Amino acid sequence: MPHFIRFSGIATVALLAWSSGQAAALHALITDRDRAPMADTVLMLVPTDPSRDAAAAPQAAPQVMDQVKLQFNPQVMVIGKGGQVAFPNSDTVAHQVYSFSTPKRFSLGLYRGLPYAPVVFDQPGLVVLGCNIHDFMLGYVYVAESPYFGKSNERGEVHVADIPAGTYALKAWGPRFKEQEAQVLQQVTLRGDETLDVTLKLDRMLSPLRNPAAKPGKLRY
Amino acid sequence: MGAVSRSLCAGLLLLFTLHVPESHAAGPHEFTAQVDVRLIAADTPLKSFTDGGLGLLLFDESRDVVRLGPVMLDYSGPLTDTIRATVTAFANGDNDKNPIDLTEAVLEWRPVPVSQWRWRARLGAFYPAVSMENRGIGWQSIYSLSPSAINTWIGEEVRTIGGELNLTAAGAGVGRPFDIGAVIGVYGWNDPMGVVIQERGWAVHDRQTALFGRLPDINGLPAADGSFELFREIDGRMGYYAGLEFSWLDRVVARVLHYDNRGDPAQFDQEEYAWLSRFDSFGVRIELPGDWTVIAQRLEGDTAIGPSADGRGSHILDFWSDFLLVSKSIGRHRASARYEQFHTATARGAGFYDSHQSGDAWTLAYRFDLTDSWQLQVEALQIDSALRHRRLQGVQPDAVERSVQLVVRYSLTL
Ligand SMILES: [Cu+2]
Repeated sequence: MPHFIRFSGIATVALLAWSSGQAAALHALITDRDRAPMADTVLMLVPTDPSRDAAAAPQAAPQVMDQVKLQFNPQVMVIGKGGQVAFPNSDTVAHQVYSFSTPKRFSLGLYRGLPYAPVVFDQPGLVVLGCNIHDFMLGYVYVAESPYFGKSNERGEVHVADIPAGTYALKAWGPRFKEQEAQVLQQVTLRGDETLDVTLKLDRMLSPLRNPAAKPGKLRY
Repeated sequence: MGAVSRSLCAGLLLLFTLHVPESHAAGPHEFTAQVDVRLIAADTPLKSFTDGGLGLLLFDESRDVVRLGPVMLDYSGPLTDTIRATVTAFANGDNDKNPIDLTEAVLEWRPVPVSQWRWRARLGAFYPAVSMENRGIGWQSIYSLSPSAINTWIGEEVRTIGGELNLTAAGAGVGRPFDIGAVIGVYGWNDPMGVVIQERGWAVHDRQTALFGRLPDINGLPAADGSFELFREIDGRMGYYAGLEFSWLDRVVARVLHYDNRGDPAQFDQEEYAWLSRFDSFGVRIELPGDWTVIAQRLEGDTAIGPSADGRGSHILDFWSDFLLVSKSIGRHRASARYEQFHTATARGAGFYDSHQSGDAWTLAYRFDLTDSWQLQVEALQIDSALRHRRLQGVQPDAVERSVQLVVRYSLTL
């Protein structure tokens, strides 16, 4: 439902000096309606020409989503198709990580430390993670549908480099989105050796974040 | 130190033998040991109910200024991939029948959810989900040392010894901001429930009644020195409870529960009557921006005892209480303030025994988690209450009781 999203429309094209090479880059600033930076937002560039979708994500080393103080850390992660994530538990209490999201259904029996091999995520889309012991624990692995993606930092900034020239749909997803699918923000056309600067204002009602575990104190109920 | 009981020494010994670095924690079996050292100052004209008096504080002026304990031992771990056992024991060091005794022992079945529908079942001896405060290991409040009068009473007289089934439509996995759940419990062995609130009324403290423990008789008579067992079956009738829980983004959690032990007030087993006790509880917890938490709870009910023509009991006591708690956490610090009111009134049979209590209480609490294991708590409590049958013990019905507790708590999870 992309029409829920309006953009500030500030898509400043910063033309850099021509130089050799074909790859472009994207530098985005993601804010909410009040222009406050939005951290933990996944941004993807999906080629509009489906025949170009064949580009496979380079096989990256397994990512790590830790469990610290009854929270997933980081809470949001974006990986490419076929990416792997390890789920160590650094707490003194045991966790039981699971997901029933369509792109990946799995469960890791009750554990502490790191007794399991990394989990492989083959299908694109949002995988919502829970803990079967602590119902309030919530994590997200977004499996990007293209190899060109990034996640915004605390200042709301995302950098995506090494993008082949072409036309892309800019799609975003974050834990405050009401939908579980990435939303198309706009189309961009990138030429080689260009860094595109965009400001993406998510001009719509976002949900508040879920409340993280109460602290301090070892929670059981 | 008075009678530092053997149980406490045993608990401490166990604690120290268990003491290995936390980095060694491995495997899904969790053992938690906790011990308090408490510095207590009390200002009350009354003898504590734990000594057969009608004071509402756990520790009156005659008690030690420095106390070792309680000690809590807790185990929680899987029997299978979806069945988990949890056992909690406390040693209170206060001449209970067993120096260390269980407060909960429960098997919990938690199938891994494959859709938004989340099933949970519990079997054993455990607390029904009434309290919005007692969220820690060992059913301890994470906001203050002593839970509110409502949840103090739950800890004293209420335990599910039976089974519970819970079904929740959980929104997080399907992108919905709220959860709705329903719970139903069936239980026995809770027939004397009601005797404490009838004889002493509401109190504010953190002592939980053990499953096999005994409570001192508090019937207002000068020579009260007997004791009785709370968790027993007398009338052969099962009780039930049913409740609903609503949660919005874990920021607003609301619960209602109807509880009815279906006691037959005419039944007597040579030691204790069966009491017919029922209550409704309403609770809401709101997490506000800036790590502020607000909790409000109300509980109202009645309890009845003795044969009567209509089967409702020859003596009926109404009771009700509510509280408001505001808490703020900053990093490893948490400060909380709570105000509550509580009442009991005899609705039938006052000529025989006129139980009547009216009071309120303020609690100010601060806790500082220095490390994952070491914790400091300070709690100031003022209870202003009138209890009609204090006259039977030759003291004024009205009393203001105050206490300050400074607690150094060591808690280790292996
Ligand atoms: Cu967990």
